[in-house]
Amino acid sequence: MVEGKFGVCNGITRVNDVKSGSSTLRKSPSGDRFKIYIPYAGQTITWEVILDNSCPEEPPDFIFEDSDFCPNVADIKSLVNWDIGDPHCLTKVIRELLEHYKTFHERLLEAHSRLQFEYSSLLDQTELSRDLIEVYSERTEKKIGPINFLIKLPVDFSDIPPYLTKDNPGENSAVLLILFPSPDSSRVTPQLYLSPRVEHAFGGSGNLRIPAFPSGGCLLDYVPDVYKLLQNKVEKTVQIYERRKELIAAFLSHFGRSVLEFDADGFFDISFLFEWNDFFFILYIELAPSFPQEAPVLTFQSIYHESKEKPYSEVHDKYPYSPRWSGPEMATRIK
Amino acid sequence: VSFRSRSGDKWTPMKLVRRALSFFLHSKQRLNRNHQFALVHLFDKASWVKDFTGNVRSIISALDDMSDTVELQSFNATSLFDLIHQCVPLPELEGDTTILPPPYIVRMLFIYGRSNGLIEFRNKESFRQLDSSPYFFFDAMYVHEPQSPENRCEEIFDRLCDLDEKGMSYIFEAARNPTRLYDQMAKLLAHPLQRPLQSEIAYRLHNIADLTDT
Repeated sequence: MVEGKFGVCNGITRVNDVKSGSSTLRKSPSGDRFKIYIPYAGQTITWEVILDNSCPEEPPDFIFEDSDFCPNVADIKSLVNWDIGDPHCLTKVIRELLEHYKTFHERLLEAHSRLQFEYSSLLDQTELSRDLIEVYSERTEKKIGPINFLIKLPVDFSDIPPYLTKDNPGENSAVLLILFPSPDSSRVTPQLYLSPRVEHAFGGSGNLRIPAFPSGGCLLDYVPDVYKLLQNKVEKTVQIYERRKELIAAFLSHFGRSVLEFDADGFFDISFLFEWNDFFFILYIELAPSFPQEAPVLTFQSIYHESKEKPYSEVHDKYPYSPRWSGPEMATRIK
Repeated sequence: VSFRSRSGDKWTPMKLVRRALSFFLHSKQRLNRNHQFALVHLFDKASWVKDFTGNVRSIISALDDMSDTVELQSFNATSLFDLIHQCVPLPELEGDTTILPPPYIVRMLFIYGRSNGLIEFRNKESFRQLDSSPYFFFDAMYVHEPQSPENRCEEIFDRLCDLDEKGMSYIFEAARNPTRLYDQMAKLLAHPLQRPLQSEIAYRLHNIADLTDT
């Protein structure tokens, strides 16, 4: 029966969580106490769950890492109505506790007007709902800080190019983690986290720079700015990806029987083998990330002649070209 | 891609093949930096000369270091496929194979230069195992003397074609014609998963007049 609960715990997905993390467990030899590590607001919180092997119908006790967090048991409905027969019994409890934990941290902000302002203005004056934001305050004896704001940005990623990999890349998301070293600090540091497929579509993690948090600025202005930046980047990425794909497809439809290789992931290049009056040569067509603004680069390579120990090749990039032409039109003209 | 190269009984074809291979390697690498190559030499039995690497120069030096060999009566294909089966791991089929590309594929480019050495293939077990994977391809380039009653080129070429059991291979031949050899090697640059079937390939560009009609 304890093992059964284990299974339940392992299967928890953080549905209520702002990011797609999952809890992991470690158990002590007796098998009825274990720790759960939960990602929250950019931190990992550890809660210890204590069950009793000898009476499994008894609801669990919890030890929270944060000793100030001490919710009233009567407030936790799923603990009060603990039903060992329900496979999700523990999941429900954790979820409720996490909700209380979130409220606990929200309350901590009330003592600091600047932070309280930041939080409530985000909630009241932007489209962000409470379930997209998590706050966490690190507290020591003397002071409070750093304080984390974790915000999931509701960017529409639905048209992002596919990321073909056997490991499930997971859902698409962009999460902004903002750190305040102390309640009134002006050295606020933002960090953007993108899910794998989004990162892949942008061409790597280095490819999107978010602006620094302006000193004297506030989340109310900053967060929507980052959101707009992301949304624009997504739209632009999708557009230029479609243009590249269209051009490569046009080339394939004209010259498919002569193809050597092409990039079937990002559609950045394609090469052909052509014969002209018994003379064979290779043509490489390469698209820059700035295509269609920048024309494709055509490189002709000999298969018979060498120069400096490599096959001889010539680059042609000055030919009549306009970014406004459609893919098929470009392919025809390059022909 | 791994190469099997069988040196001929004169030095000229060997030099020619080396040069053509050098072009092939450089061009293939230009197509995609991630390609890797290994070299297997066939004497009385197959031996692995150079393991998979992206370093084209090192393969070319290994080729240059290979000495010419003496003519042998026949060639033992079983030993070759046994060696490859043993040494080359093929990717497993994972996920939805109709849309998920494999991490890599293995293509065997068999370069054969004997005009009289028949290919003996007694035990096809290793070959069958390799060939059963959708990520394994067998291509061949047969370099030979012009066909005459004194040699067995046609028979050898037919035997090579027999190895194309899946119908996905590219099998070419050239009779001591350097240009033709380079042309055929260039056709072999095509990626097995993206290229048309050998019967469908067409490289000729038409006259300018034809180009304006589509």
